[in-house]
Amino acid sequence: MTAARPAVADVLPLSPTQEGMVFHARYDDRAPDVYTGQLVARLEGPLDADRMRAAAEALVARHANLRAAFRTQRSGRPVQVVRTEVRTPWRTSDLSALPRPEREDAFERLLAADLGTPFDLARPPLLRFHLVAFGARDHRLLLSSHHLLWDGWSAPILVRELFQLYTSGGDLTALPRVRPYRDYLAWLARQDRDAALRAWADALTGLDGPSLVAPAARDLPAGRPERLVTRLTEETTAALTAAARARGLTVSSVLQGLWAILLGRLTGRTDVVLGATVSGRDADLPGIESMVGLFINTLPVRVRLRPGEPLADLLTRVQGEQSALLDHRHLGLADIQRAAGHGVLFDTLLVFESYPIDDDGIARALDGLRMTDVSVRDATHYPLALTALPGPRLTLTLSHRPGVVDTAAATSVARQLDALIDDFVRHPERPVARLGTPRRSDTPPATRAASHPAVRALVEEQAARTPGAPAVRHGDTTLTYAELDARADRLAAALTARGAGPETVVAVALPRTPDLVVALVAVLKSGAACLPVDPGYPAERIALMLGDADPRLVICSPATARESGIDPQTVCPPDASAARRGPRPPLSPDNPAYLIFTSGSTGRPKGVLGTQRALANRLLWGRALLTDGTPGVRLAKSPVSFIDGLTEILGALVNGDTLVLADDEATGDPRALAALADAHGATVLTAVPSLYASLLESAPPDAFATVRTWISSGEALPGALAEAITRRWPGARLVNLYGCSEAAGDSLAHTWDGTPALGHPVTGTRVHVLDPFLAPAPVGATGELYLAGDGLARGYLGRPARTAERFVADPFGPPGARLYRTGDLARQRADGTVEFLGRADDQVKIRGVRVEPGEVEAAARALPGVGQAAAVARADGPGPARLVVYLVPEPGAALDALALRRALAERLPAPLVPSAVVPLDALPLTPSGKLDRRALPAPDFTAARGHAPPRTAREKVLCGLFGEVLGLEQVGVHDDFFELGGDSIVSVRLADRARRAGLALTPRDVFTLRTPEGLAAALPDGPGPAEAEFTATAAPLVTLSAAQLDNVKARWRSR
Amino acid sequence: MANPFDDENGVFRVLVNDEGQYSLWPDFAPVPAGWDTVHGPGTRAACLDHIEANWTDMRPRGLAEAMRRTGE
Repeated sequence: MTAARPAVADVLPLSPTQEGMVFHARYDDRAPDVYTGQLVARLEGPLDADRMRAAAEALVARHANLRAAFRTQRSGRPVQVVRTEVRTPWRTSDLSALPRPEREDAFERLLAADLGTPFDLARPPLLRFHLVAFGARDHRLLLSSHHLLWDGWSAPILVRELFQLYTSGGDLTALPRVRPYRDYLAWLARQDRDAALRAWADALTGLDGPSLVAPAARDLPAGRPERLVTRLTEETTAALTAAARARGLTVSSVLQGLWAILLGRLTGRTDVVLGATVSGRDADLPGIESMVGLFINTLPVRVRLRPGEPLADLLTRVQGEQSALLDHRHLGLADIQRAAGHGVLFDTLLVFESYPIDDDGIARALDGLRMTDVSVRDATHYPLALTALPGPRLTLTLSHRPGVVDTAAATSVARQLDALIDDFVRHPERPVARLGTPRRSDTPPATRAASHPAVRALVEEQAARTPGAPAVRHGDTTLTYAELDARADRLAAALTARGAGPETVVAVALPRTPDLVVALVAVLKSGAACLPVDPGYPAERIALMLGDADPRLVICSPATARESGIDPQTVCPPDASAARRGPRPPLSPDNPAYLIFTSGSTGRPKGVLGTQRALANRLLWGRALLTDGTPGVRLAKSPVSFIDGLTEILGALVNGDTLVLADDEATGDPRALAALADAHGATVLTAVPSLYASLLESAPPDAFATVRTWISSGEALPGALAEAITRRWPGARLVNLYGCSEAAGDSLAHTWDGTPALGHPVTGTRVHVLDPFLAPAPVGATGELYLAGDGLARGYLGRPARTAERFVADPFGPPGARLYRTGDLARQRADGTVEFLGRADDQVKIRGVRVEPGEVEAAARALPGVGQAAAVARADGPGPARLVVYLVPEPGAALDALALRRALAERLPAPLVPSAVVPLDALPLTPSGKLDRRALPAPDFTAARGHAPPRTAREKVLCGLFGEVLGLEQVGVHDDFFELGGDSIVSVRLADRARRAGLALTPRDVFTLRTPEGLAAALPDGPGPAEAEFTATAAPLVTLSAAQLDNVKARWRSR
Repeated sequence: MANPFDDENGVFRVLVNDEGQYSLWPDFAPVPAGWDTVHGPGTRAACLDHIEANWTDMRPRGLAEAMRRTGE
C-alpha cells in the first residue's frame, strides 16, 4: 500500500454495450453526459458516517470493475484499465441547519449540481458518494456513477452489499467471493459471432429504413430527459398479467408489440424497429445473477405490422420471432447494424426492468438503521424511451427529450399506450388497425358542401362591377373587363352553336395572349370544361392528351392545328363569333370546369376533371386572401397547361385585377420579368422556389418594388429561401401555397412567419394526416396528407379504378364524403399547422411540376434498343434537382445517350425531359431487389466528348462560367449547354453571371447559341456596358425574326 | 411510408356512396358512414376490376338524374 502510483491490476476489453456508451460519451463532450446515474437511499435512524464511508471503500475494493478507467489504445481499440486501488470520493453535507421545508429544495439543487459534474472516463473510479444529513436521524446517501460501471439489475445488489459491509464494519470476508466481471468478458469472447451475425442479418432482411420518431434529433446535443410516470392499478396489472399468461406471452413481449404499434402511428411505417434493452443475465455463467456490472444490451426488435391481424396474433408472432434470436443477444448493436446493412435502426427504447429486489435482505442488514426509500435516476440519449417496472402495480415511465418530443406529444403517447394496454386486456382479437380509443380528427366535419356559383358567374359579376377597368394587358393591347366579357360572350355563343356545353370538354391551345384569356372565359361561359394545352408541347404529347380528352372543340390557330395534327373538324379559331340564341343550359356546381393533365405513374398522363364548385371555391378563397381594397396588377406567367396557370388568370379576373401577360421567353428570365412587373406596377406574382432563387440572384436591385404579395407554389419552399425573399422585399408578404390539380390547385396556405410550413386549409377544405391504419397521426408524427371538402375533383377522366383508389371514402367527414390521398408525407403541429415532409412514393418535382418517374421510364422504354429504365431526380451540383434517366440496353443493342434524350424531348413536355441520359450495364439493386438509388452514378457530362480549350479571353470566361453553373470541372468551347445538363433555370444563372463579367448575354442567347464559342462570337466588340440593355418597359428586350423566335421557343420548351 | 391503399397483398372492399361514387377500401378499417360494400372482401386486383367494370358513369348520381330530367 506504499506505491506512489496505484498499479494496474488488469487491462480488459469492453462489452458491446460499454463500447456504445463510450462512443456516445465522447461523441459530444460538451453536452451533459446523460450516462451519469444517481442512486439515492433515504436512511432513518442512528447513522455512523465513518462506518458508512468504510463500507463504501470496501465495496469499491470488492468489485474490481468499479475501479476501471476507460481509455483508447494506440490501435484505436477502447479498453478498460482496472487499478489495484483507487481513492473512493466521499463527501458529506449537512442540511439540518436549514428550516425543514427548505431541505428538500436544497437537496434537489445538490443533486442537480452533482449531475452537472461529469466523470472523466480516464480517472477512476467513475463513481462518488455523498452523504447528506437532513437531521441527526435522517440522512440521504447519494451514489453517483457512470452507467459504464453497472446496470439497473446491479443497483439492489450494490445497496444490499453496502449495508452488509456497514454491518460488518467494512470486513470483506463477511461476504461470499464475487465472480469477476472479466469472466463475463471471457464468456462474451467465446460466443459464436458468425452465427449471431447471420441470425441478425436474417432478422432484418428486407427492412427498407429506420424507424425514427425524431430524425433531426441525432444532430442535437444530448440532454436530460423529462419523465411521465404512469402506475397501473393493481386490478389492471393483474388483468394484464393474466391476459398475457393465458396466451403464453410475457408482459415484456406484450409491451414490445404495443410499442411497435405506437411506433407505426408515430413514424407512419408498417415495418418498424424499436430498441429493447435485455438484462444479459441469461448468459451461461454461474452466479451471474448476483454480479455487479454492465450486462445489459440494447437490441433491435423488428415488427412487421399487418393492419388486419388480430392483436393477440401479432404479439404471439413477435414473441416467436424474438425467441429465435435468444442465443444471439450478446452481439453489439454496431455489429448488428453492419450485418444488416443499415446505419441507425431506431431511436426509441423499451426497457423492461426485471431485476429481483430483495427488500428483506436489505432490512435484515441494517443495524437499527432503516432504509425507507431508494430511487434510481438515470437517463438515455433516446428521444423517447419507455421503462416498465414490474410489481403489484406495473410502473411505466416514459422519458422524452423535451427539445425533441414535447410534453404534449409525450402525454399523447402515454395516453395511447394506456389505451392499447386496455385493448389487449379487453379485445385481444381486434385487428391492429382498429385498436385504441377512437381518435377523432381535430377538424370538425363540414355539414355539407357549400353551394358556390359557377365560375362564369364570378367573372361576369366582376365585369359588371368594373366594366371600364383594364382586365388584360399584353404588349400594346389592353382589354377592359367589358371588352373581355363581350368577346368571350361572342366566342361562347359560337362554341355553344357547335355543341359545347355542360359535361363536354373544349381544349384551348393558344399562346399566352389576350386571345387565351378570352377563350378560357368563353369555354367557362359555355358551361364546358376547359382543357388548356400548351401549343409548344410536342405534337405527340398533344395528340395523347386530345385522344384521352376527346374534346368537342379545340380553340387554336390554323398553324397550331396543322403542326400538332389536330382534327380539322374540331378546330375553332379564337376569333369565332356568334350571337347567343336562347338561355344558357343550366350549370351545376358538380359539372366539370377544368380538365388538367398531370404526370401518370403508369406511363401515361392522366386527366383530372375538376368541378365548378372546386374551382369557384378556390377562386373565392384567393379573392379573400388578396383583396385589400384596391384592385391589383397580376403578372400571368405560370404555364397555362397546369392548374396554377389557370388559377393565376381566373384569380385575377374574379378580383378585378389587371392581368399582365408575360411572353414565354420572359417567364424564366428575372430581368425580363422585373422589367414587365415594374412597367405595370405588378402587385402579385406567383413563382416556384427555383425561380425565386433566380430572382434573388439576378433581378436588378430596385426591381419588384410594387409587389405586395409573393406567392410560392409548385414545390416545398425552403426556409432559407423564404428568409431571403422577405429580407430582400420586406414590405411584401410571402404566401406559400400547397395543392394539386386533384383539389383545384391549392388546399393549404401559409403566410411566411419564420418557420417553413404548408399552413392551414383554405376555405371549404379539410385536411387529415393519417397513419398507415387510416387513423389521425398524433401531433408531430409523420403521416400521409389527405384532403377533403369542396376542392375535390370528380376524378380522373375515364379512369374509374384509378379514381376509386385515390379518391376514397372519408371516415371523418359527412356521410358519403370523399378524401383525396395526396401521397405527400406531413405532420401537424398542436395548433393544426401542417408541415411538409416529402413524398411517400417516387414522385418528384422538377421546377414546380409534378413528375412521375414511371411516366418518364415508360417513355424511355418505348424507345428502340432500351431494355430497362430508371428515372430519378438528383441534386449533384449547385442549383435545383435535375431529372436523370438511367437506361439498360436490350441484349445486343447499343445506346446513344444524346440521341435518346432528343427523342424524349420530342415526346414529353419540358419538365419531364431528363437533363441527362446515362446508359448502364445493369441497374444497381438493394439486397431486397429494389432499385438502389444511392448506388446510381452521378451523370458524367464530360465523358463522351473531346475537350477543345478556349482560345480567346471571352471564351475562357465563358468556359469557366459554364463549368461554374453546371458544376463541371472542365468545359470546352464546342460543348453544348443543354447536352451538359443545362436547363432554363441554369441558363438564367449563366446569363446573369456573364453580364456581371461584362459580357452582355441574355438567357435567350444561351438558348440559341448554346456553346462558349457561339456565345463569344455573337458578342459585340469591346466590353459592352452590361446594364445598358436593361430598360423598364414591356417591350421585347431584343428583336428576333419570327423564325428565330420559333427556334427559341422550341429550344426553350424542349428543356 | 406504406399506404394501406397501395398494399398489393391486402384485403379490400369496394364501397359505393349515395352519389354512385366508388371507393377502394382496406378491409381492416371500419366502413365510413354513407358508404356500402358492393364487392369483396377480395384482392386488390379483383376490386379494381369490379370498379372498372361497373363505374361506367362517373357523374354524381344526383347530377346525372337532374341532367336527365332537364334534358327531356
